[in-house]
Amino acid sequence: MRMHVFYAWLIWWALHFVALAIYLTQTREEEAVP
Amino acid sequence: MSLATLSWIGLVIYIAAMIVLGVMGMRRTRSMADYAVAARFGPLFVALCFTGTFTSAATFMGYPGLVYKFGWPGMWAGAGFATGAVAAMILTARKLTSTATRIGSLSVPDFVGDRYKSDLLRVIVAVLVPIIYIAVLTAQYKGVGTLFEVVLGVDYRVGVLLCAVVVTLYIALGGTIADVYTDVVQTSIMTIVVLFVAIYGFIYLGGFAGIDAAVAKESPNLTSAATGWWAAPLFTPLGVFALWLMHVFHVGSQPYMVKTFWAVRTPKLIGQVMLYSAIILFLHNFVGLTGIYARAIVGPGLKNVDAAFPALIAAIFPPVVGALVLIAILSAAMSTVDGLLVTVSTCAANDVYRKAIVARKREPTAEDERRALTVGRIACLVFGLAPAYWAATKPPEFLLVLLWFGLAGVGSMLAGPVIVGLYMKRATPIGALVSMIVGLALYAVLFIPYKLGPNISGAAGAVAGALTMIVVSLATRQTLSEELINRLFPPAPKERHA
Repeated sequence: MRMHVFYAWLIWWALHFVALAIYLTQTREEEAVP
Repeated sequence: MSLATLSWIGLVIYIAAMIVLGVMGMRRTRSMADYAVAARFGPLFVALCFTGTFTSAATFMGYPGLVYKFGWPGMWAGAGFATGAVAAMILTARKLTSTATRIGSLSVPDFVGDRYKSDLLRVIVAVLVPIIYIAVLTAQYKGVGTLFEVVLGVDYRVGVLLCAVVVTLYIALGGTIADVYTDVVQTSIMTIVVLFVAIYGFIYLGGFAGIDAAVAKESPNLTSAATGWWAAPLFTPLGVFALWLMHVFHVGSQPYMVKTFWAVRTPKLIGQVMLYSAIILFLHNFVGLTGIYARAIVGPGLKNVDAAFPALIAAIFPPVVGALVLIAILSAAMSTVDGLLVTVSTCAANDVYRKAIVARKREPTAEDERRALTVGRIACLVFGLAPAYWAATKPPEFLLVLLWFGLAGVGSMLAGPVIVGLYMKRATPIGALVSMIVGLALYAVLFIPYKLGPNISGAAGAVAGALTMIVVSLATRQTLSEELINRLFPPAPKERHA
């Protein structure tokens, strides 16, 4: 049986959480004051 | 007790709470910076403010309406717009917040003016944005009017006026501080209600098997993956990608959305804000499920598809849940309207009056600051109440079109100056001006005569604006001073401490 659309929807969301996690762990917090 | 009685009791408590929060905000608002930005809040409050501002009456009524109409493919609408917002945060939230804080900008038009050292650009953006936002405000008011009409059976104008008067009052009093306080309450209500209804409905209908069995009887299309491959309007791979891309640009530069991040105590906390925001947006996205539940329970007979969520509530929930949903949808509208009102009043008070009129003549004095706050409060009354008059007397028929036109139009205009301008040292003021014109013009041409829809027109306008920014900036001479460019792009902290 084919995958339910809802699971594809969840995977699409999961990809964004992975991207966010990579961004947050790989980039340095910038300082506000030079 | 009936739904109407419970709803009115809930509404009285809710409205009283909003006014109290407005007064609390007023007591803490002493300057234009307090009114416009209020950089003092922790990451959870800021995330609740951003997500409440992003999630509007359109999310709580329009999105379930699409799922109700198209079935499961409609869920891609939510995945398209909300994940686009997550990607937009990655693109601009941290960089824009830290840059704007560093150069002292109080709004996006102000940032454009400061970034390119141009009062002309500042005023163009600060005049166009409020004009476009009148349509966005009118759409939100119309949503609340329809909600009150459908759920409580009262005159459509009651909802419009109630929403307009309450939000205008608390924002005129407390500016951004009131905006954050009220959004914390409103977004919490929205999130809890969505989760409760999504889980309860799922169990009530017997999970995916029960839902699909109920809707597949009507049409197998309702359980398919998409409405087609390329041809159908929205839920095709191309349509969803364009919707996503349009949101990356329009949320990433949308003045009333990105400004919510600036309320954080220090830009160092933006990472936490982004994480909390993504989680809350994900939870809000489950509101789309109410559309498929409504289709399974109520059937295809609803005349007004935007009322799918309220109709579901009337069908399977007790009145007390109905009252809570009414307040949750009202919260979704109000938490968007308040962000819009802070932004348009800041355009008038800070970007035009304080920066482009007073600061050209002298360093703003304490008296000027007070006067700017008064200008902001008057602008808030005008921009809060005028669209209500429009929505109440002549409710425009194609308002969703106007709303999308507005938001994607602003995104097409600002993709170059704001988003490219954040990353491109070489970006020039002429490049910013030309890219604004090209982005907005291409968007308008694709949207109006060619009718390509807001997603494809918006994505194309923003990409064209961004490319124009790069090409024109490379082709023109840099007129900005070395000092300003160094403040915009300071050397990395490691190099500085070395």
